[in-house]
Amino acid sequence: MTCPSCDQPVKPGDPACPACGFCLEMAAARFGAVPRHGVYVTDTTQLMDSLTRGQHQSLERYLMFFERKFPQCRFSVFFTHLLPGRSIRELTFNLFNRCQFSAFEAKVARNFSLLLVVDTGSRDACLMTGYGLEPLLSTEDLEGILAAGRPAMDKRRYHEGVKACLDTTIKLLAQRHTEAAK
Amino acid sequence: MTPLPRGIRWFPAIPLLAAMLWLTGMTIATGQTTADDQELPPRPEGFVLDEGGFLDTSRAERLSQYLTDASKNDIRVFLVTYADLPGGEVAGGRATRLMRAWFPEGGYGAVLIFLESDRRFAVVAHPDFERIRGERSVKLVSDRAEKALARNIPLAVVLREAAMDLEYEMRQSLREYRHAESRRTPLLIGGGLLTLAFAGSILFFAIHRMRLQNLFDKARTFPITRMEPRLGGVMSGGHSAVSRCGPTGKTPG
Repeated sequence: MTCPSCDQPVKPGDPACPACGFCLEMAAARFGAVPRHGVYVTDTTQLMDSLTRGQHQSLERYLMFFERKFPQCRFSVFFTHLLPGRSIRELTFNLFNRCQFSAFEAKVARNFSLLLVVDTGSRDACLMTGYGLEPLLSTEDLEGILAAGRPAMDKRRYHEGVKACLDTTIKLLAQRHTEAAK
Repeated sequence: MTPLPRGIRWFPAIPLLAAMLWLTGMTIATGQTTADDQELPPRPEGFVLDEGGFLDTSRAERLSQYLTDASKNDIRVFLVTYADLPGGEVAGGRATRLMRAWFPEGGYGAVLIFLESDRRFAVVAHPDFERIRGERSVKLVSDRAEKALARNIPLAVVLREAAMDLEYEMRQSLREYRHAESRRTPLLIGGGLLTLAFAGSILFFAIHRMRLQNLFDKARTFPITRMEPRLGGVMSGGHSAVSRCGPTGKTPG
């Protein structure tokens, strides 16, 4: 596992990154109070070009469908407009741990949630998992999921991009579940 | 008295006498009629059976017409008069027997009897009516009639008033019962629907909590492995990937 800030390896149980000292408190100080957010889809950009109302609702329904398929998991999407020089990975780490996207009791190994943060300014995206999904989805898997949504996101069709990411996630998790059952 | 012939002793005559006494007793016993054995009259079509002859024809016909009309509203009141009853039978006993004999099919009916020898009235209502009568009591009808009789009101008038009084009491009881039933029915239906809605809500909530797909084993769950938190994050340790806009689109996370 690597540090969200400096990308150096971090061991389990480390309270802070041994290389740069990054930790949740530092991220909280860097990004301040968490914005108002929903459980499934949050759009802080206030721009109608990122998601229309219909797309927002359609996406929420699809995220609920995902949760019905994988009751332990919750996929949340957060649209933001990052200031220049801010790291999307640090922001995702900060939001994941400080916003209550997943259930209250879903902590440490019980957290099987995923958070996709999309920066509508740079069109960068970051997908982060809870501790529970770490053994199931590797970094390559996560990159593959993001790559599936990349073409649509490049064209600012975020709704399609997120759905493509979700489809790939569903396929991967179903595959992991089958493998685990065997 | 002629003396018994010599040689005949007394003791063989004792069983003979006993047998004769027994035969006599049996004959008397079988000949005596009890109240239960007495033949009961058939149910009168006009609801008035004036065996005592206390009502004149026109009054009896008018009363009969009144009670016949009342019977169309399910109230059947029979007025029966006797000058005397054989076997010392009392008015109440005869009324009970008549009620049993005349209402084999049940219903809201009663028998009002006047017995001239006792100067007593008796009312017996069918159990079907007793079940619904509520606070009203048909027994009071006989009390009122006897008081009227004590005030020297003509017997024919007392009989007519008693029959009409009884019919009125029964009609009111039935009306109150039906009114109460009509008010209770919507309440029962409402209560039933409310219970059904409550049970449905509980069922829906239970299914929602269990998640329907879990019932059919379609939901996929993963085992929980032991993990240690990193960097102070209790939800995520930062396991992630970043995708950047551009031709390659990928930057190591």
